[in-house]
This record gives sequence, structure tokens and C-alpha cells, in this order.
Amino acid sequence: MRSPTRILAGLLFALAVLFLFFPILIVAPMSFSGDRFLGFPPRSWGLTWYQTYFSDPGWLAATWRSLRIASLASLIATLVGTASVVGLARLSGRWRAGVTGMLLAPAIVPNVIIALGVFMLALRFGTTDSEVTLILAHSAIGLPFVVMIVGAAYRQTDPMLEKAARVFGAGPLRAFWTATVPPLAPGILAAFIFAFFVSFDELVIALFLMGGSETLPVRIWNDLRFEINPTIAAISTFFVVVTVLAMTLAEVLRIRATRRQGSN
Amino acid sequence: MTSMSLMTVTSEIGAMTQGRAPIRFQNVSRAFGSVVALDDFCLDVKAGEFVTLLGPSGSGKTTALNIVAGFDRATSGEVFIGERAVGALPPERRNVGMVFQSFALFPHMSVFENVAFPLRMRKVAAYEVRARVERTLEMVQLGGYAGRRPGALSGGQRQRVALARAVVAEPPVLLMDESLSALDLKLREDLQEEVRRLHRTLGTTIIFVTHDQGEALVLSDRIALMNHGRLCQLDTPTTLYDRPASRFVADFIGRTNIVPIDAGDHAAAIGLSNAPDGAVALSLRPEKLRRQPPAFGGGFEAIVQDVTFKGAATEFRLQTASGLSLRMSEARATALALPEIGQTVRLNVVPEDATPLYE
Repeated sequence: MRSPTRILAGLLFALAVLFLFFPILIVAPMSFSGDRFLGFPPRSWGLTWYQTYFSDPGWLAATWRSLRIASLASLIATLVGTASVVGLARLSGRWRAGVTGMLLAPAIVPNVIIALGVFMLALRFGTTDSEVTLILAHSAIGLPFVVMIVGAAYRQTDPMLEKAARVFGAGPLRAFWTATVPPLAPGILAAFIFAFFVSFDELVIALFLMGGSETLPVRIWNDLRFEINPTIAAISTFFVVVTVLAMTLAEVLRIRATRRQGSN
Repeated sequence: MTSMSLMTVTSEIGAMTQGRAPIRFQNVSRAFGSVVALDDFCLDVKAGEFVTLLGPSGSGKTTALNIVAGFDRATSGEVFIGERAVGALPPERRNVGMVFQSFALFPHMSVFENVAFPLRMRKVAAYEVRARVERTLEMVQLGGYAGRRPGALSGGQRQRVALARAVVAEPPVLLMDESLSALDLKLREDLQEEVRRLHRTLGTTIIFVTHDQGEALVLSDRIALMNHGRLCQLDTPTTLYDRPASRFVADFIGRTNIVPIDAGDHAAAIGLSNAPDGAVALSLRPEKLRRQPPAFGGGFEAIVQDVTFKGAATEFRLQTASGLSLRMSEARATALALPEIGQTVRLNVVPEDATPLYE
């Protein structure tokens, strides 16, 4: 039935989607521009700016740095987050609420505040301008996503699985690895991908900490401030595609992880 | 784990594997804060015996099972498996098999891997694992299902896999926690037969936990009826049914009529004035009441309040002249015509069929 409300709702939805996709719709064509300056619509076409990106040592160094930081930060976030989920289940109600709040806090506190805090701390220890500091900060902001995603998957698994493994002869660690972790694996992988992009995208904390060696977002930021050329459009388009693919995979895994044991 | 302690574990398990083991609860108590889940619980389960812990929820039966399995620790008292006090042993060193209410099959493993799990943990050689898993799957009639995932099985099939996994390592003790409760009635009856057959074949000592008295009667050698963390009565199903010791037992096992002795002289009114001293009530099973032709003398009269068709039997709700409400169950083979509601019928009861209750 086509009631006016339905038509209106459909229209609003289309508008919202258009609004969200608008930047991509502008940026993607611009990345295939043959012009020397960023402009829309482009007057000529070509792959020049992709070539520039993939041959410029500065851009490539920033990209590799970001990939390295994101990999390690998300690895730490995933390990700590998964361990937290399993640990939380063993805490009593009041403690669990408190600790969960602390673990989720980095998702609520603005990144500027986190950046400032980490920066002050790093100043004291003399560890500003260090990849290690940034990796630790990024693992903290990735942590809430891991706790939420793995936590949801954990609540779907049968708590008796681990007991079953124990009764049939597995020690505590063995039971954990053979009975608890495997059903969580899709959720853990999804959480890893989310945490990866939380770090990979992050600009503010990196700006505070990475003066000398730029991450990709910092490089983009600096580049935008001094000159505007279509390389940025090419990079953006490239990473939009990569991100969409990875996040789709993560989402599929996450849904599978929270649904799988439901029927068991 | 060092190789030294690993050898100790294996030899311990080996020593316990010899046949079937008795289980003894010696004054076991378990308190959760101020809540006493298990209160000075004593029970001797003989080697090879099938004992059911029966009781309403909160009676402590699951706590008792968890303490045997090693998931929970007694606040005081001790549990023995065979000759050995197991209180300090973790679950993996107790060599028990267990069937969980939720089945608890490993969802990421095939049926074969699930059943093989206890053998792999015991470091059984690969060729022997294969042979034993296949034999056990045959035993629970799941020969062709080794490659499936638990998610692709029906409830009954999952339960059979859970059974196979519990017995594959031939543990001297098998624990079953509300194991059939998740299944529908027909399937449950099939699996009850299966469990009995397994028990006969393997001879394992079994502790079975359930709140379903019908299931307990069908399966058990002896039933330990529990309430409020205490053992109320431990007897064979027939004794428990025929000679309940208390109102709680009489009421929990099957259906019964509780005829009070002190108030209103109900017992005497229906010809049961022979209760021994100290008895507070009589338990009279519905099938022990008999209708008799009106022409006969003796017995007592009651008014029919309701008649219910129950398949093989007909159930009556009756009220005596003294105001006592009775339930009667009558085999449908009777020659007497069915009475109408409101009609008066003449009943009699053999005094020996009424069981005196002392509490």
C-alpha cells in the first residue's frame, strides 16, 4: 500500500543515503581527473593521480606507516578486548558494570581529549613522536569496538561448552582454546577489522603525536592545508573501496557470530 | 604442563578407569552466601547403579551434580569417586562422563570430532580413536553422521551425540543433568529407552538429575528425592511410589490423595481407622480406590464432581459426606456403567493400600 507516510519515509531515506554518499559521488569522479587542480566536474580524465600516489615515496611511506600502526593497534585491541570479554563474564554484576564502562569509555570520550591526555603523558615520559605511543593510544580507542562485538558473540555461546571441555579432560587453558575461542572466531575477526579501521582513519591523536613522521590521515591533512591536488581524491577513492570491502566482510562475520549458536 | 605431571594424570585416570566406581556423598553442604543449596547431604551410590536425584527446582540436585563434576566445591563434606576423595581435583582429572541439558556440543567440530574429544584429551592413539568413535556412534544409531556439524542435526540426534561423547572414553561414572528435558515427549521416551540400554550395556555408574518424576520412575535403580538441599527419601521407584515416607514424597511421586487423620475424622469416615500412632495423614493412590455395585453393602458413599477421560483410564473427582475431596483413577475395563456428575457412588478401599505418612 502506498500511503503518504510511506512515500515520505522513502523520500527521507533516499535523501539520507544521498547525503551520506554525496562526498563519495564528488570525490570518486574527481580522482579520475586529468587536470592539475582539484575541481568538479573535471575537465579531462586520466589515471595520473593514482600514478602519483603509487609512485610518491612520501605518500607510500605514510601509507605503510598507517598500515603498520593500524595492524599492531588492532591486534592489541583484539587481544585485550577478547580477554576482557571472557574476564568480564567471571565478574559479579556490580564489578562487571563498572569495568565495562571503563572499557567502553574511549568510544565516548572525544578523540581530542584522548589526544591531549596521551600527549601530556607522552611529554612526561619523553615518548612523543613515537609510533609505539600512537599504537597504544589507537589500541585504546579500538578496544570498545572489540568489547562490544566479541561481547555480543560471547553472549550467544553456550557457557557449558567450556565446562564440557573440562569434564572431558581438557585443562583450563586447553578448554579455553578448544571450546571457547573457536565459536567466537568470526566475531573476533570482525572486531579486528573494525579496530583496524578505527586506527587507520584516526587523525586527531596522530596529529598530536606524530609531528615528524606522518600517518596517512596526517599526510592528507597537511597536504590539504598547503596545496589542493587530485592525489587526495585518488587516495580517498582507493581507501573508500578498500574500507567498504573490509567492513562488509566484518559485518557479515559479526552477524554470523551473533547468530550462529542461537539454534544450538 | 610438564611431561612428569602429564604422566601422573594419565596414570591416575588409568587407575580409575577399572570398571565402574561407586560414588559417595559424605555430609556434603554447599552454601551460597546465606542460601544453603545443599545441606549435610549423604548418599551412597553403588558401583554400576543408576541413581536419580529428583526434586523441584532449588532442591539442590544440580548443585550435588556440579560438585561431583568439579564445577562447584562443597563448603564442607567430601565426595568420593571410587576410593578417592575428589574435592581437590579439577574436573579434567575426575574421569567422569557428562551429558548436559543444553547438549553443549562443540559447534565448530564435526560429530566425529565431538565424540573423539575425550579420547584425544586422553592421548589415545589415532587408529583407536577412529575405531572407538565409530563403534560408539553405531551404538547410539548415528553411524552415518560422523561428518555432520551439530547445527545440522535434530534435537534427538544432538542428544545422541552428547551421549556418545559422554561414554566414548568408558568413564566409570556418568553424570546426566536434566539431559532429556529439552526434548519433546515422544523423543524423550525413545531416549529414555536408549539411556537404559546404554546403562545395561556399559554398566557405568550413573547419576541422573531431573525434576520429572515420571522419568525418574522409568530410569532409576534407586531415586534420591530431594527438597531444600536435603535428602528426603532414598528408595527404589516402586518403594518410593508405594511407601512414601512423607507428604512431600507422596505428593511429588505420582498423584495421591492425602487423607488427614487429625482433622474432621476423614480417615475413619472412609474406613481407614487403623492408622498407626504418630501418623499425621494417609496417602491413598487414586488407582487404589474402587467403585462397587450399589447393591453391595459396606464401603462409603461419595458424590461425583467431575469425570475425565484419560485414554487407558478414567479419572474421577469425588467428595465424601465428610467433605473430603478424593481423586480416583479407574481402568476402563470395568463392568460398571459410568456415573453422571452429581450422582452418588459407593466406594471401598483396602486399608493396607493406604500408606501412613509421618510428616
